[in-house]
Amino acid sequence: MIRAMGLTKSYGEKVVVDDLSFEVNPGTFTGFIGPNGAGKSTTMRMLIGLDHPDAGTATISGLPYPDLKDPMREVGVLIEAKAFHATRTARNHLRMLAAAGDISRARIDEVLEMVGLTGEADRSPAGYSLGMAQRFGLALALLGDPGILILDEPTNGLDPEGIAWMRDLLRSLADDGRSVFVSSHLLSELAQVADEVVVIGQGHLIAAGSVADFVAESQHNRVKVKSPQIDELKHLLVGLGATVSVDEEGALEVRGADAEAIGQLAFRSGIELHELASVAASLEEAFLEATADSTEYRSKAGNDPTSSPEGTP
Amino acid sequence: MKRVLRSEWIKFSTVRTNIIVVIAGIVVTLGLAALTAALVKLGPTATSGTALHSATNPFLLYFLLILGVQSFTQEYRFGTMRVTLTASPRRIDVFWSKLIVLALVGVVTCVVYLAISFPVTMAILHQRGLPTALFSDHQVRQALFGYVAVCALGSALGAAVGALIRSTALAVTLVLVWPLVIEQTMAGLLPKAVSKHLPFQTAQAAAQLPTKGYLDHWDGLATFALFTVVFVYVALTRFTRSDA
Repeated sequence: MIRAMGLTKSYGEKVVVDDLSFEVNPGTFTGFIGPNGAGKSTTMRMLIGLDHPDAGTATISGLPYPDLKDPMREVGVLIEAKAFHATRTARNHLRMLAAAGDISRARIDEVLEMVGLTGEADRSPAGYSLGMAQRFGLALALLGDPGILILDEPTNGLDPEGIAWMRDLLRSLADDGRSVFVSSHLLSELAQVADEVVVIGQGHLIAAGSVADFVAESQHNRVKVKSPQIDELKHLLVGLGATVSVDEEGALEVRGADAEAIGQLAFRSGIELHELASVAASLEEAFLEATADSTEYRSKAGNDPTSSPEGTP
Repeated sequence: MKRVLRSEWIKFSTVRTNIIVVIAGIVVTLGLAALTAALVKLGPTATSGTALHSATNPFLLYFLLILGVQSFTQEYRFGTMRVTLTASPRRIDVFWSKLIVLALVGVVTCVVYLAISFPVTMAILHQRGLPTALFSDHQVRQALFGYVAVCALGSALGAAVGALIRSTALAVTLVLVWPLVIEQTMAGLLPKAVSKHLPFQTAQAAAQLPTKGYLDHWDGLATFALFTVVFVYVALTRFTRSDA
């Protein structure tokens, strides 16, 4: 179980993470989602004790990360995509970390095999493509065969094939009973695989819970209605308290009333219907809606739209 | 702690530049030592103390200071410090492991250097009919021990400076400009009673036979150790408290 309680962190004047609390349940695949600059990386660094919060605490299995008895065997971390010495080989990089976690040499070969880099192990990962570096980063995270994975944008820089590969691998790791906590600013990548989401914007928690619940709350859930008596029906629906708009095909888009209620209303009022369909919001739509107020790039007056805390040390 | 030590040793030994700096340090300093022994003009007042100087060339210390600096600054430069602290989140262990590995490398490097430079320079001096220092002399052995101790402390001092400054260019500049320029200038300007307490003057005092105008052997060594301890303490405080 990963738990953040009231995490707060500022760099200078800028509050990057603001009183953030959430839990990641054991054995779930949880997406950590927010626009660029929302504070995801900073939060992850605080979870593993790299950055010290100004207020609040972060615990993993009930303890601050640095107090874990055997951190590498409990938590696998991928936080810096291309942090390698220019000349140390990939295998030596793994040896160095394996020594810190008292992990066997055989396991080094295993993780290299798992990410398909066995043939590239004797050169420096600094020369890898971003895609290879991400796979290597995952090998580092898996070195201690941990039950919890904390991965910061592991699909960043991967091609569509690589993204699918990473997604499937992470899903299978979660299916083995691991807790997988993965950040991404691209929600569509996680939509198909995540069980739960933690959504943040400008350092604040926006939503946390199951993907289904998150989508269900979206204003983008709507009912599409086609009828030759459109004006009459519209009038009745507004009277019922629903929000109604007309789309480019001339169909009604109804929010605030479900298909059953609309069908019943039409039947009772003798209105002919040609189409009556529930349209579920996509996770992307739900996400964009939830974070609309907190996206830095659609900035409020006075905010510098170019500053991104993601890059701050 | 044992794991972190092993990890730090692998980290040190798998970077080619570290090995190159060690070998270059030994070779370059040996060259300078042999050159000094071959060319030094010793007057009629020459003693075994001046003879010993040609063997215990301070240049090796500069290489070890750079090696120490690099042990921290390389990690910040390549972004691997976060990886290191994720694998070994107890920062005090990481800090001490680095210093221990560096100090041991300093000792081994220095002993290897002396094992060659001492007999070679003394042989050259002997052939030129000049006075030599004898290993059987208790004070000579003490000075050689001081030289080795200063090398170990210097490696740790370099590491502390690297941890404090984090930038290779700045930290290397500091550890070279301080002893070679600033301290030399100050030593020329200040009265001896004051200048003999400057860090690298005390290091020299530890590694030579008793010489007028310098602290004596043990005081010199203790003072240089004190300078090192202060830097190490400040560096450790910063390292454990600040964000990685």
